Amino acid sequence: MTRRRAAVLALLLFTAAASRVARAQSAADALAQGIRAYQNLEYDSATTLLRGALGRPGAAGLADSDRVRAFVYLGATELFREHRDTARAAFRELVLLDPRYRPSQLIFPPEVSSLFEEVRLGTKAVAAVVPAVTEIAGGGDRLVVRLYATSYHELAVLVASGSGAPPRRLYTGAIGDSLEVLWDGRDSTGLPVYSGDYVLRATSRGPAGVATVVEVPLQIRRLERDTLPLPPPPADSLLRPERTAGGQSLRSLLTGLAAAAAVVALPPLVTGEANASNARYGVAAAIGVSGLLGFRMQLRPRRIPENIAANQALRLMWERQTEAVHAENVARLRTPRLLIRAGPSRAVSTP
Amino acid sequence: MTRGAPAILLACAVSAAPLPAQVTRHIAAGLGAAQTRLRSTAAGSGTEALSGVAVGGGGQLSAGVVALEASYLQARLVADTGTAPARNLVEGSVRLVVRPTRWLALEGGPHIRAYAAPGGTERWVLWEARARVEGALVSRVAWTDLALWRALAADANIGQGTRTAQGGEVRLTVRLPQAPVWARLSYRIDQAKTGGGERVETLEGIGVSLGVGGYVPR
Repeated sequence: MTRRRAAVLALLLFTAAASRVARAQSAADALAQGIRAYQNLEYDSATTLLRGALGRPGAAGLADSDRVRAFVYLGATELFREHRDTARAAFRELVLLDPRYRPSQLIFPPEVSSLFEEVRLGTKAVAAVVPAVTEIAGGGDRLVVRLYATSYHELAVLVASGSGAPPRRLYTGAIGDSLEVLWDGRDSTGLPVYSGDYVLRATSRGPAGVATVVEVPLQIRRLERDTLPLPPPPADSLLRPERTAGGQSLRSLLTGLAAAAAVVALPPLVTGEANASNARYGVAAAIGVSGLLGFRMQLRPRRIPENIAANQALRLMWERQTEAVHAENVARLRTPRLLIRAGPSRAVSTP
Repeated sequence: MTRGAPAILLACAVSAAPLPAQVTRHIAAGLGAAQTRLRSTAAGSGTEALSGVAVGGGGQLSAGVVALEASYLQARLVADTGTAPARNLVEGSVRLVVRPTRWLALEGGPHIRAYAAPGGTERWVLWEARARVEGALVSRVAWTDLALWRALAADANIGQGTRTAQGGEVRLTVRLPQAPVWARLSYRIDQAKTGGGERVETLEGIGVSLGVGGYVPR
């Protein structure tokens, strides 16, 4: 029972997959057969096959490169069927699909190229190419939008949000062949945009007004950047004592007395006899008195200017480091990281 | 012994040398005068006592815990009593100093001394090893140090047998606050002997000197 169910399930899956492949193949086959019919001068048949190939929607339809081929053969076919307006419509679709496409003069006769050029020059549109994913993390990062024009015309490019906020205008002016437009991820007020759905809109204008509008959906995620931790204040172990300790006074006294005693004791220690200059007692007294003075002077804690200056320099350095980190954090909060995902471009209105 | 002493001092200096980033350098120089007294005892001819004022100077170059010191002194010593002929004292020394701690300095090097007299010149060459202990009396203003030294090797052009020498010195140094100038009061005594005590020279001095720069103990 279980085996039978599994077999049935496998068969269903296989059938579904085969059906999908068959449909895809049939669109491509229809294109190939349409091209052969065109080459055999069977224009009616070619029209039917090419329209059939172009008419398949979604995944079963043709890829963009094949759609371009289908449109150019359809336009040529309609031209030879003396359906000039229909041929124009096919070429117009082709121009909107790929503004940079030019029919091969080896394949198509001059009258086809001539009509195509006429349509191309009369069609005012652009194709927008935007990277699928763009990250704006720093001041120099930009979303790069490349626009390819069918022909010379006036163009306006902006980024609009779904919230109704004023759009950010990126470019207004003429476009000849191609144009590169940069966006820094900021809105019309100069602030980084918030997360949400946006649209990049390129509006082409001809002599009669708006000709075509091409839109690229942009999904933007605003990622707040991590701030840096502030540096810790100088550790106590790095700071020097700014006042003398009380215990130092006793040490000074003892040092002075010991040195004074050493002066007196040196002659017998070195020579083994006490016969030495009595003037050394003066030296001993001077050292002893100095020790006593040191004891008195250091009895109360005394400021140590060198240490105070050294500690101030250390604290100043820490304050500067803190200010630098603070400034960096402010800059990071002002410039969050933006992750921009671009969808496929689409023409939203063609009069 | 004569060859070993400099090698040991050099090894101490190298092993105690700090990393370059920690090295602090000092230069010091000073000039001074000292009331100097010589008692010279020779077997069979009694004791001569001479004294005079010696003048001299010295300098020190230090880098981290290692320093090089040099000093020079000369004096004319005349007899305190009796008819002993006057002598010209000239002495100089060069010492390598290693300071393993703040309060201790180990020093060593040659010390040459000559007494020039009408009857000839008496020369001593001493290879000294010296230990100096320092202590502050008033932090960074006044400090004192005690040095004891002994000749690891000694040579002289007088007398016979083994030569020995040892000595000591106590100094009081006062430095002007916030200034590199210092004044120093010192007392030193040393004694050099030839074999069996046939000749004993005891030199004693109380000196005052002024100088600039140098290491300041805390």
